[in-house]
Amino acid sequence: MGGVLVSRASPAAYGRIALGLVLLVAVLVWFLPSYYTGLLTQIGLYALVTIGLNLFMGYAGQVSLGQAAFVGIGAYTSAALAVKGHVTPWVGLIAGALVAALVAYILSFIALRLRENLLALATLALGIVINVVFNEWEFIGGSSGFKDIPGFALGTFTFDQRAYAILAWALVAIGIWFAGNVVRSSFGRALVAISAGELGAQTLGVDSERLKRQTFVLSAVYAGVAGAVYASSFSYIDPSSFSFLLSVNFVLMSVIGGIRSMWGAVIGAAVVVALGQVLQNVVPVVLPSARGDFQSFFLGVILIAMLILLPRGITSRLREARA
Amino acid sequence: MSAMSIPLTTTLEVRGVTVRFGGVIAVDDVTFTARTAEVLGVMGPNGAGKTTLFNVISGVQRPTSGEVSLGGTRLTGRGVEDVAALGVTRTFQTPVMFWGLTVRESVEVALAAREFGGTYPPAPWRELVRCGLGTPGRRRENAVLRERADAILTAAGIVAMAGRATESLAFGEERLLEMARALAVSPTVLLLDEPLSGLNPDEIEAVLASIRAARSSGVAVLLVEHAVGELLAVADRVVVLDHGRKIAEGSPQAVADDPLVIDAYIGDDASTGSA
Repeated sequence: MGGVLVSRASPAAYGRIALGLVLLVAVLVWFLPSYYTGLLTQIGLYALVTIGLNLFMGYAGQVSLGQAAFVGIGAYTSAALAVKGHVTPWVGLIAGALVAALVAYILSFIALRLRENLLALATLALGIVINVVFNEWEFIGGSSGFKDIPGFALGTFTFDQRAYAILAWALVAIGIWFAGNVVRSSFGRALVAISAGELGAQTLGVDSERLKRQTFVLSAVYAGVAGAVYASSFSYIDPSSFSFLLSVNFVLMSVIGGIRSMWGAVIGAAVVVALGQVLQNVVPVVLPSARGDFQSFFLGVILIAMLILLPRGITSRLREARA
Repeated sequence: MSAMSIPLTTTLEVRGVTVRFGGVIAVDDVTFTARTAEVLGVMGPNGAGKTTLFNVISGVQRPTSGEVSLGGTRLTGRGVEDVAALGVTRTFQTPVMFWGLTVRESVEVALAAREFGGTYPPAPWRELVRCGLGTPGRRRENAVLRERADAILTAAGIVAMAGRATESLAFGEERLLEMARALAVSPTVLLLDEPLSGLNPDEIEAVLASIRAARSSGVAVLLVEHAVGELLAVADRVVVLDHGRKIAEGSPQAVADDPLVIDAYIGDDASTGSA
């Protein structure tokens, strides 16, 4: 991971831009058709997961191919509480984050013993195992999942698509602000140190295992929060919503945007979601006989090309251009 | 072997340390002590086991038998960061740089560990939350860390490069930074693995000055160095290893005149002595 630029924007700048982003979304939702408002929510929730993943991948220098599982845990926790226990999703959101954190904490004792490729494989396997649990556990709906998940409400106001978009992006803003503070602090510097020279950092007293564990858990909190909002905003979840492919997408969003940039997470999520939409509309026009598989094919080709042309992500290229 | 005085100021004790890699014995039943405020040179031809010995002391390598202790506290069996927290730190033959950080930030990493009683982050989750929230208290601590980092860089004579990215450093600058970083944890014992190799004469002087300053502030410095002339000039005592065994120990003069030592160097690697 050596040589990857570290963002040096001040924490206050992070906060201001993040706030501006929320205001922009709050305005946009009044002009966008509801379909696009839904996409905006989706991009926001994916960006939130990717911000957490960037801390773990870009700063701690680790790889997780299992983030979708933590999104699922957040979603299922909140949905189960709301459907079975009539608990408000606001509490479900916190509970979802906590359960995802707890699971990540326990799993970290196994997963973080492994390095690099093996860690990637281990997190991939953990993601699949957790998905199997979603499928087989009848209490949480088994393979059919949860339907009619209650939505968020403030007083008598029940959230509509616009409100979800604003909520999602408010969470993105908080997520960017918090992560931006972390990477600018001693904690973030210690993370960069262990990803560049783990043994060297350890000989100075840096506890790399604890750093990685806390970062892994924090990334699961981001994913869990996103999952809880996802469940209520789409009002329906099943195990296939949190498959291994979604985890791969999160890694792609992270790498495409730039793994050491919080804005990269937003850009990466937007690019991957937008590309998927564009292809869905363009491919049938260009190749009328092509079926859905071709969209995935082209998405894959474009993403590979981007990884080759912009190996350090879009934001890294932007920063180089400005320097 | 010189007669040992009563070790009133013993800090680091290496007792009967043996390291086997398969059938190869890298370190063979080595015993010695290092005391506060002295420079202990560790000499030996290539493959004598010097770096393996440093790995054992710093917790990187677990010995097959024997143990290392510091002021009566057993170090063997502890993790590298715990050994560091107890006051033993080191540098590497090839400097380990924290790419992505500036020179000053690299020193701050070492200082942050020291700040929290040895290891970073401290046990509870409070530090992560404070950092994430950017609490005023945490920001004040950052300002203090920054000032102290600059003080350390000034003492090391490299404050001019405080704001530079570590990726941009020349090899000699990397060595100076690694040394400053190690001193930032206020070690009791400092292990230096060939700190002079690849340096120009000015840089050699700077490192030797840092070693002497560390010694006068009470640090036990263990020095592995191929430049035998410099090593003998700066060391107070010398331990000589050959094929993993300790073959001599004593004052630099006594060791330099020891026929066993001369034989080991001429027999194995005559060129080393001329460095």
